[in-house]
Amino acid sequence: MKKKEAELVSRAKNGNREAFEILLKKYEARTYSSAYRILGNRSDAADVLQEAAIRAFQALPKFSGRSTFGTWFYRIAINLCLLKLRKQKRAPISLESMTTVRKDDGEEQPFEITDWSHNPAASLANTELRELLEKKIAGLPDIYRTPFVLYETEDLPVKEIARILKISESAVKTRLHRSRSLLREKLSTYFQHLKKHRVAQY
Amino acid sequence: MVIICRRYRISLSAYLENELDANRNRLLEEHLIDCPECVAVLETFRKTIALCRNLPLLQVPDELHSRIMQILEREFQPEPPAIRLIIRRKTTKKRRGKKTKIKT
Repeated sequence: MKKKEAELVSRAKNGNREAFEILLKKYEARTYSSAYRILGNRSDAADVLQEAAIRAFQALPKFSGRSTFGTWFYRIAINLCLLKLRKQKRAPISLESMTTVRKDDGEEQPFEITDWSHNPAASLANTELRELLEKKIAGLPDIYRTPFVLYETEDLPVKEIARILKISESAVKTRLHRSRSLLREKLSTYFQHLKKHRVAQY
Repeated sequence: MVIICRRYRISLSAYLENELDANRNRLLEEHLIDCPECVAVLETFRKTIALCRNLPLLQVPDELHSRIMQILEREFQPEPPAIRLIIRRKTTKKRRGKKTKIKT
């Protein structure tokens, strides 16, 4: 497998677009998914994938092969995502606004704690939940979302994330914890609504 | 939320990653025995992480893939074979020249 990839890389280095297309096909879904989760929308994710592919094809002759092609390509895309985020400088969302729910009378109250972890609807086979989770990850404040995506969905080690984001390892861990807490609360709200809806049905 | 619970809940990530020292680990587990609310938070926290880790990859739209390949085709035309041959000949000549110099 590795040999086959090395062969493709070597052909692509000589400008062979067919070989590059095979490599792109292999890694584009992972790159596109991460870009979407980091940037929060498909249009920006598409721009990043396109730019990363062009840059990778251009820079291939300089690719030393110290890492795998996939890792190298992925790093190009992540750097482009970070660049885009810095340019966008989205308005930060207050943590409080994400950890409280608004009642009908406008008064805010903290989430009620229920254990929904064994609820049959708590599965990725539940399309509604899957879409909600994607949406909520995309809605996390930038500073939390990027380390979260790199760690939870891309499996990068904390040390590597700290290096990429130029922050300390403990800052990465704090941000990971906050992201998880925020998402847990969002899912808790979903399951509360689900419960109320079901009760109302009977 | 009771203040004591808040103190334990900020350690949940570290607990799940096995990063708590033995003493703090023991204290948290003792608290969990008496606090069903914190158990619920822990279980849903664990479930949230599992759901996120298993999210399927998004599919790249076919149009996007084709557009990328079209751009590569347009922007990076391979050098015509004749030019490559000329470049190769020139380099070979240069190398030969250098070799001769060294010999003499």
